[in-house]
Amino acid sequence: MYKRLAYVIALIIPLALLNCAKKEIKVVEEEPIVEEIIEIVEEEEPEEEVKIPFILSRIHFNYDKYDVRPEDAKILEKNAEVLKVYPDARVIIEGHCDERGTNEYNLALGEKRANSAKDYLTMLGISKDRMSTISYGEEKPFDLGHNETAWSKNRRAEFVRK
Amino acid sequence: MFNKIIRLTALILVTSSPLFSQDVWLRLEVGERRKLNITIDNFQSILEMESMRSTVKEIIEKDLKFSLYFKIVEDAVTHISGDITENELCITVYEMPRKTKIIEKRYHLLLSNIREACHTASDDIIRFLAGENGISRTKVFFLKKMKDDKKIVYADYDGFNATTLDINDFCVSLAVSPNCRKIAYSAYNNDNLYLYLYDIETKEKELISYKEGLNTAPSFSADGKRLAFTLSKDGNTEIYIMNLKTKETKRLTFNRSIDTSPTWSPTGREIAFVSDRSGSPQIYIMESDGSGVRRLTYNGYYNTSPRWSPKGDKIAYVAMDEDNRLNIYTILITGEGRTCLTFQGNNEEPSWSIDGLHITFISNRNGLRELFTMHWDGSGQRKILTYGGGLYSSRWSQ
Repeated sequence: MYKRLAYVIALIIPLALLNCAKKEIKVVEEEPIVEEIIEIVEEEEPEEEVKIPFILSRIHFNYDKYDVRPEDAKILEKNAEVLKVYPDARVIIEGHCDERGTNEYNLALGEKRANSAKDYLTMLGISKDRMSTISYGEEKPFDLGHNETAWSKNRRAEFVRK
Repeated sequence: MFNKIIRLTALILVTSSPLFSQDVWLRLEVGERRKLNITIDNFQSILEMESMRSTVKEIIEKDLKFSLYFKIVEDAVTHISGDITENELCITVYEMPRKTKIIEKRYHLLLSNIREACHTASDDIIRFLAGENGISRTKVFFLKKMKDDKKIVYADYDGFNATTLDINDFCVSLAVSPNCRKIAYSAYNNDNLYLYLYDIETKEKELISYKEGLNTAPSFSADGKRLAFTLSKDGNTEIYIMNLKTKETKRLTFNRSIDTSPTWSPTGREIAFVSDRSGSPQIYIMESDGSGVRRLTYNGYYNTSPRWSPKGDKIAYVAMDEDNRLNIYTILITGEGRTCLTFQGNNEEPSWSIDGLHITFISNRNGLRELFTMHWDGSGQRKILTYGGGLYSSRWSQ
């Protein structure tokens, strides 16, 4: 037992020392690099903004549900950032369902999903006027399979530039 | 025997409940339906029309059997005979033992209208002998899935004479007007789902609702004057009704949950619909002004697609069972008498015939989504149409 502790301590001490050494080196070296970067950024700033691609990722939903899941909230936050870079872009938010359930109800469910995404983006500061919603219910599956893997991919909201 | 007791109890509950003031028009259906025994004689024909003889008899016999008013036996008192002469079918109903003629009626018969002529004769026999309006000439409307869209098709109630309507739209939801002349349908247009009215005779198409988002789930009132439907412009789906003459619309539901799939009671005083306001989709009934909402279904977590029986006493709907399968149920509008009618595959889109004795629906029990009919109690289930791409949204005309 004591032997093991001794090993661990023996390992930690040099590592900690190494770390300190690294930090010291870094502090010394970092200053000039940062200055250089700032200079470059200042020169290329107008071009770099255009380079952020207009890519909006789709989000997914649980079965028969339309609330935005925490992991998908992060995707919507990224989408909101993109939309802020392109203030003139308008998007259609499409709501989709898996093939289970009845057609008419799935149309209403898809609409709710599209609206959940729209509401979340509105909350993140995107103007409502830039977004419209449409439900395709179960009409346009992403995956044509008939199993849970396919269904989970099909329960989604997609963002299409107008 | 138990069946009898259950149905009698249901009747007593209905008649003694305060809800009786609502849309109840009860047929007295205690135990087995009473059927009239009839005998269908071999039909006669002149030599030139001989090829039609067996077909004519077969169509009429099938219609009469399907109607549920008759039991076809060998030696009944009431006999039906047919006589085919040049371009004419003469149907005679007579009674034994003295061959007393009750009715005799003639029909224009051509090779091109053979089924239509026979269905007309069948409905006349039903009216004369059972005193009811037959359904032999009614049509079933549905959507067939093509490569990129869905087209509206209609066929005779027995699946014959399927005709695709000449509409170049991606249709997803439809309703047939009571006189069977117009169809309300929704179709995708400019990233919205708009609502149209289509005249089958003139082939004229009218855009009747084009709000942002969904304009869908149409349902005609029994008098054909009003249309209930769903709009999503308010941020979620809400039920509206439209006066078809003035195009004036009125909103009936007000909440943040899903409200859709309206269906009228036969008197037009009430509307049943689906809402997930309780947390799961369930069926509710409200007055046609939006007041007096009450929940109808309490079993399970998925009850959708309500269709009010033209007789007023029951609603057919689709429920998802514990094993995630969709099945068609009927329930009395009092909430009693919940009955499952289907047991194989997934079954959805129930729609009643005007006599309230039959239901058409879509089932995938054989793999593909096919069109079926069954009797009101789930008996006599039969496939009437198949199409490679699958069939959707069945609606029985009146």
